[in-house]
Amino acid sequence: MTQQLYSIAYFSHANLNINNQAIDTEIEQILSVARQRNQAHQVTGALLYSDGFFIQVLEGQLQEVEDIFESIQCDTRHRNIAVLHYNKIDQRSFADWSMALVGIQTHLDSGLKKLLVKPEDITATPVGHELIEALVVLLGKYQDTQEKPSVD
Amino acid sequence: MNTAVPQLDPVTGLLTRDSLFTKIASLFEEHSDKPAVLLLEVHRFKNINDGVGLEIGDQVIRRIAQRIKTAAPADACVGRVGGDGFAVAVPHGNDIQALAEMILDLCRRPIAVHGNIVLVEMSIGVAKSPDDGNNAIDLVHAADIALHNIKCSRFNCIKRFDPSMKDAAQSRMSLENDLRFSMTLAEPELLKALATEQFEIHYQPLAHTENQCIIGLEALMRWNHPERGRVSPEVFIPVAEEIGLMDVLGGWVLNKACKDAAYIRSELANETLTISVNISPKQFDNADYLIKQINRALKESQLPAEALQLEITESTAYKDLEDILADIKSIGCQLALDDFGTGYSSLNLLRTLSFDVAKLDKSFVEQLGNPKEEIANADQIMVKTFEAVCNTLKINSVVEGIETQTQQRFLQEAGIACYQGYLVSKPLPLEQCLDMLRRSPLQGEYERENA
Repeated sequence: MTQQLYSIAYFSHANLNINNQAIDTEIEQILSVARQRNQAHQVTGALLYSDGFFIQVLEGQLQEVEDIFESIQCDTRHRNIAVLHYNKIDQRSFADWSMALVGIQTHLDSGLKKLLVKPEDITATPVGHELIEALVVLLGKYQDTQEKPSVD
Repeated sequence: MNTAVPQLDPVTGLLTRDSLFTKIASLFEEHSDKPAVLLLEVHRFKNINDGVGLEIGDQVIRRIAQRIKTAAPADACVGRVGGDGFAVAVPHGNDIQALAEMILDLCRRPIAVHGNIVLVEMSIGVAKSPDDGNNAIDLVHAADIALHNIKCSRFNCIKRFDPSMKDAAQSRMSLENDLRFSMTLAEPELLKALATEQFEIHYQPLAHTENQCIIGLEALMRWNHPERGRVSPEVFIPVAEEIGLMDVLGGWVLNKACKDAAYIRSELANETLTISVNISPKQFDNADYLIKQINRALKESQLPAEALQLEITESTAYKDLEDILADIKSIGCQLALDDFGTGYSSLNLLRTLSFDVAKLDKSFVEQLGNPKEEIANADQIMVKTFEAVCNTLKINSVVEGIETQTQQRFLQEAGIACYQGYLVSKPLPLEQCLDMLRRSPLQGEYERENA
């Protein structure tokens, strides 16, 4: 019997007071650690860094998702974390990605800007669903413009 | 040096209270520089346990313990000192404020457990040696006093001990003893009259915004202490709640207010004046007893149930109250949500718990007459929004703390149903209140004259 899958998405302020190039390096480091850890726990997901915000989705079995989410909560590289949704799902939206990089943007994507004003404003589940959809679209766009990040 | 094997808390793996005490004592012995202690309390943890169950509650506690350990420096000692309490002892030299801020930041982040997201509120009391205590007992005690000091004001905050808190704690202890003494008089039937010489009720009128007629009274407790003089309810109600005396005190208020209201209505030959009585969150812990008290107060006073309005605050309303509130409604009493806007301000709460009345807290009208337009605007928008919500949900809107004609006129324009405040009258003792009512237009008379 297949185990129930869960998806959790959150939004946070980055604590990265560095220049753009250093941000790229920092995020590559975050991704590298995340990909190894997620792969070991069959967790998939996507990360977007945009205009000082992180938006991340994690998908997997309950305990694995919660353990990884907890380790992310103990990371001081971000603050003001708001959970956008935490739901049971039938299938993964980012099945091929231990952690897809949806993009590093210096300006918040206009599609997301409508969704994201500040973390406190966003708690409703529909926003969480919209966010996932927006991230999937962004992932497609990002793949078109970049070399595909290494698939784990 | 103490070489005993430290005892660990089975849930979190942190030091137990006793082991932590031993560690703090050894920090005093081993270091020439003295340690600091942070006492941490997770607020309303009982609600989390009640809401998600003990097993998940333990997981939340484990997560919090881990976050505290993550924030703490390597040379810190971290312990669990109660069901919802933790302590961190650190040698001198650490930046204590930065540590406290980091612990607070990490612990307030969302916790995912068993498919739920749990958010906790936490406060931290800080004491540093040698200024705040020069041994383990004094230092922990000082941190505890600092923590207790926060509990009386607001959550999610860090407070360093200062000696004036000790005086306040001692004064509170003495107040607690006085209250206990006073209540031992209240319980036995024969001595009830004696007790009522210390506690009394003042009544503050509520007026109709449109025609200025008085429609009801709110019962407000006063304590005239033989030595302390007038003790504010803001001081003694939290003490009474904490030491478990609210059932008795609340029952006494219900009885007295219903009898006084029946007396006032009979003296004025008025059949429409209502009486509002505040119900403490603690009284809902013993729901059956509360229902009995309400029924008894109505029976003994012969006051019609519809004339009694029970007020609960937003902080009470987060509890699972649907059943008890339905019971109160089935008796025929009205329900009011008090201090709206100061707590959860949940519209869902207003809708699902079938309130008859919502009272907007006075803090939202203080700037209504402010000559600076942008400052006055914020309160105006709040009042208008409140009215729109009440109107949509068919709830009577009341605004508290009205002191000026300007405020009153704005309420009238905004369509607010009723108001309360010094503009109508300050809270008055029974006979003075009766005199005031004899000189004032009352809603019942207005209706008769305009019938």
